[in-house]
Amino acid sequence: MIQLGKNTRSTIVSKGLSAGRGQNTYRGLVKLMKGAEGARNYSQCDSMLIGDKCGAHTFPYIDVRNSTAIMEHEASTSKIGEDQIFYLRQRGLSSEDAVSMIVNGFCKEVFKELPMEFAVEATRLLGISLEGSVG
Amino acid sequence: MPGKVKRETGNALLEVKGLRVAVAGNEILKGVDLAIRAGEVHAIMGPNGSGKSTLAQVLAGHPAYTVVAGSATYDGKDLLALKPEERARAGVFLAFQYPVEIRGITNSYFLRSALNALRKERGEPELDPIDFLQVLEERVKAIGSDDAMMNRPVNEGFSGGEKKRNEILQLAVLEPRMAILDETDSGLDIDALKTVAHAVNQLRSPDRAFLIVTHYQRLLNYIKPDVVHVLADGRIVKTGGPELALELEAKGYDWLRDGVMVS
Amino acid sequence: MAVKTGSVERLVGSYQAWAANGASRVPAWLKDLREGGIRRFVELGFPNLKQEAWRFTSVAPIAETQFELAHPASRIPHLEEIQPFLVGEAGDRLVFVDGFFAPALSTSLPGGVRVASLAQALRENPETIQHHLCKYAKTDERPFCALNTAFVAEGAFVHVPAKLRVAEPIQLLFLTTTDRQVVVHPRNLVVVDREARASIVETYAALAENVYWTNAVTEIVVGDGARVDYHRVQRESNRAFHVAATQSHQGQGSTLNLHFVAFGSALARHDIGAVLAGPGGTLILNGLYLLAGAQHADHHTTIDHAADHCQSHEYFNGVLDGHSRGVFTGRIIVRPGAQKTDSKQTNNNLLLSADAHADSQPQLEIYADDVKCTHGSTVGPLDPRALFYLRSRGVGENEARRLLTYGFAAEILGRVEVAPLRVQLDRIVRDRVAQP
Repeated sequence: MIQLGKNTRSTIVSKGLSAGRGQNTYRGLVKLMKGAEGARNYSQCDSMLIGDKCGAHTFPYIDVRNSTAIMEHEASTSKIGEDQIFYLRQRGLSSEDAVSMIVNGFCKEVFKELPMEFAVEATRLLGISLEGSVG
Repeated sequence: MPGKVKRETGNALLEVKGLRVAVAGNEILKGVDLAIRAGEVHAIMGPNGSGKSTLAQVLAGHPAYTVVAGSATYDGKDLLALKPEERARAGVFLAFQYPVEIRGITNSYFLRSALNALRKERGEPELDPIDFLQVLEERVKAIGSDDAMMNRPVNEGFSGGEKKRNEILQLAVLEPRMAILDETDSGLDIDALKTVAHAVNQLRSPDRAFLIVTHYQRLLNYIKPDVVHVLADGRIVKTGGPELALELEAKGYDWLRDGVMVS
Repeated sequence: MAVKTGSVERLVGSYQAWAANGASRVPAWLKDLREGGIRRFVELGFPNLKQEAWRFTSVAPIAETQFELAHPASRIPHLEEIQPFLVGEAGDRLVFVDGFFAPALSTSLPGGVRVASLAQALRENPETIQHHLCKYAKTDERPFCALNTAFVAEGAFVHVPAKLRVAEPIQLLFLTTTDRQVVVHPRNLVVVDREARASIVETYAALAENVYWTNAVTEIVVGDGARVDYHRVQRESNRAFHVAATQSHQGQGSTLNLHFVAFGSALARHDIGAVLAGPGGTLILNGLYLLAGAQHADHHTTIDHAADHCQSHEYFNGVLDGHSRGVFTGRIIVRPGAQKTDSKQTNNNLLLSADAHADSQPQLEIYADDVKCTHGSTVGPLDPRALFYLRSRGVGENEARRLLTYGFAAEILGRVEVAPLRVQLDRIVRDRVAQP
C-alpha cells in the first residue's frame, strides 16, 4: 500500500489460516510518502493455527515519511480454543461443525466484503481445504 | 447418608450416584449423589472451591474433567457415555459462568445452527433464517426480553450482564429438559438479576428441570427452588427446602463444616 | 552501493599487526576464537543495502573511515568527570577509557560477586569464560560480531554466584576520551548463576564530540530461577558510530528485564537477541531511541521462544526529530513445541518534524499453536486531541508538545527500577525535549 497523496486512507485486513503442515506468511508494505499529508493506514493481520505442526508468519514493512500521517498495525495469533469448541458442542454442534463455524467467523471480516457469489465459493473452498485437517 | 432429606426420587430425570471427578490430577468431587425430577428446581450452593462449577461442567461433558468413579443417568441413559453434543441434543443445557466469545459469527446464526442440530436429532425439518426469526421472536417475547443482541457476534464486547442474558435467551430457544445454570447471577446487578430470574421463571414447566449453581442466596429470592443442596469439599453435606438457603445467608457456610449435620 | 573491499583489507591488516604484537599471549582456545572471527569477517565483508537485515542502514560511513586501534589514554579522567555517567558510587564498578581498563576509576568490593576486566579474568579464571564466551552471540551472519570476536581482549566480566543477591547495581562504563579516530571492540560477559539476582548498568559515553567507532558485544547468561535487570545506555558523541550486539540466554523460570536507551551517535545499529531456553521464563524488553538532527539508529530485536510457558513483553518507543531516521525490526520466533507462549510486542514512533523518517517491521514467526502472540506498531505525530486538551487547560502549545513528547518517552523510562538511573535518563530526556 503506497500512499502518495494528501488525506489518503487505507485499511488492510489479512486473515491467515494454517492447518496440517501448512506455513502461511503475510508480507506487506505500507509506505506513506512525504506528500501524504494527513494520510492514515490501519492494518490488521490475524493468524489462526489449527494443529501444532503448522506455522503462521507475519512480516510487515512500514515506511512513514510524513509527520502528520498516522499508521497503526496490529497482528495476533490464535488457535481454536478448547472452551470455544466445548461451548458450541454444548449447544448441539459436532466437533467438525464447531471448528467450521469458528473458522468461518474468523474469516467473516474478509468474506463479507466479497460479492455474494465469490463469498459463497470462498466459504465452500474453505470447508473443502480444511476437511480432515482437524482431529 | 448424614444431612440428606429423605425424598421421593422415583422417576428422576437426572440421577447422579457417587460421582468422583478430578481435574489436572486433583480430585474435586468426592462422591456426589443427586436426584432431580422433571418440573423441579434444585439449587446447589457452597463455598468457593467446593466443586459447584465442576459439577455443572462435568454434567455437560467438559473434556478437562475426568470422572474417577460414579455414574450419572439422564432420562434413563448413561449421561457420562455421551459426547457433549449428544447430551445437548438429548436436552441438556448449560448456561456458562464465563460464556466465550466467537468472532464473526452472529448470535442469530449460531442459535439457528444449534436449534437445527436439535431438530435434526428429533427428525424435524431444519429452519431457514426466516422461519427461525419467527421462532426467535416468539421465544424472546415469552421471556420478556428483546432480540437486540441477535445480530452481534457471539458475546463479543458483551458486558457480564449481556452475556448472561444471552445464555438465558439461548435456553429459551433451545427448550432443554435439563437446564443447568452455572453461577448465572455472578457479576450481575440487581436489575440484571431480576431480568434473568424473570426469564427463568417463565421457562419453568412440568417437563423441565433446573439445576441452579449459585454462591449467593440472592438469586433464590427471585427463583424459588424446590430443593436446596449444599456442596462443600466435593460432597453434598446437606439437603433441605428453600429455607436452607435463608439459613445459609444468615449463618454462612462454616457451621456445616463443623460437623453439625441436622436433618 | 558496494562497499570498497579495501576497507576489509585494512581491518585485516590491523588485526594481523595486533595479533602478532603481544596480543598473542592468550590460551589456544581464545586464539582460535579470534582467528575464526577474522576469517568470518573476511567471508562476510561489510553488509550492504541489498541484504535484508541491512536494507535500511548503510554502513558506508563506517567502512570508508580509517579507524585505528586505540592506545591507552595519556590522561585518565578524574572521578568528577565521569560522575555524570554514573548512577551513584556504591557498588562494583568497571570503567574503561578508550577501551582500556582504568583500575583507578573502578571498584571491586568484597562480597561474592566477581567483577573484573575480561583481560584480568582471562588470566585468573579462564574456565568460566571459556565455557560461555561466544557461545551465545553467533557470528554466522553477523560481520560486526565476527570482527569484535577477532579483537576480543578487553571488556567487562561479571559473575554472580548461585543464590547471591547483589544489592547495588553493577556499573560498566565505556568512556571515549581521545580525539583520534579510533575503533574499540569491548567484549562483555555477564553470568548470573541459578537463583541469583543482580542489576547491571552498561553505559557508553564520551567526553567530547569526536569521531570514533565502538563495536561492542555483550553476552548475558541468566541461570535457572535467577533475575537480572540489565540496562544499557548509549550516549556516545553525536559524531560517533556505535555498532552493538547484545545476546541473552535464559534458563528455566528466570526473569530478565532488558532496558535499552539510545540518545547518541551519528549512526547506531544494535542487534538484540534474547533466547528463552528454559520453560517458564519471563522477559521484558524495554527500549527507547531519541533521535534528532541527522542521527540514524537501527534496532534489530529477536526474541526466541525456544521453550514452553515463557512470557515476553517488548516495548520499544522511538522519538524522531530533525531529519533523523529510526529503524525498528522486531522478530518474535515461537519454535515448534513452545506451547503456552505469551508474547506481546509494541513499537510506537513519534514523528516530531516534517523530515523525520520511521521504518517499523514487527515480525512474527510462529510454529506452535497453543500460544498468544500479538504485536502492534504505530507511527504518527502527537495526538491532536491530547494537545488540545492540555491547551484547553491553559498550557501553551509549545509546552504542551514538550509535555506530551516527554510523556511518550517516560512510558519507557517508567519501567526502570534503578531509581538513580531513572532520574539520570529522565534528565537527559527533559533536556533533549526542551531544545527548540
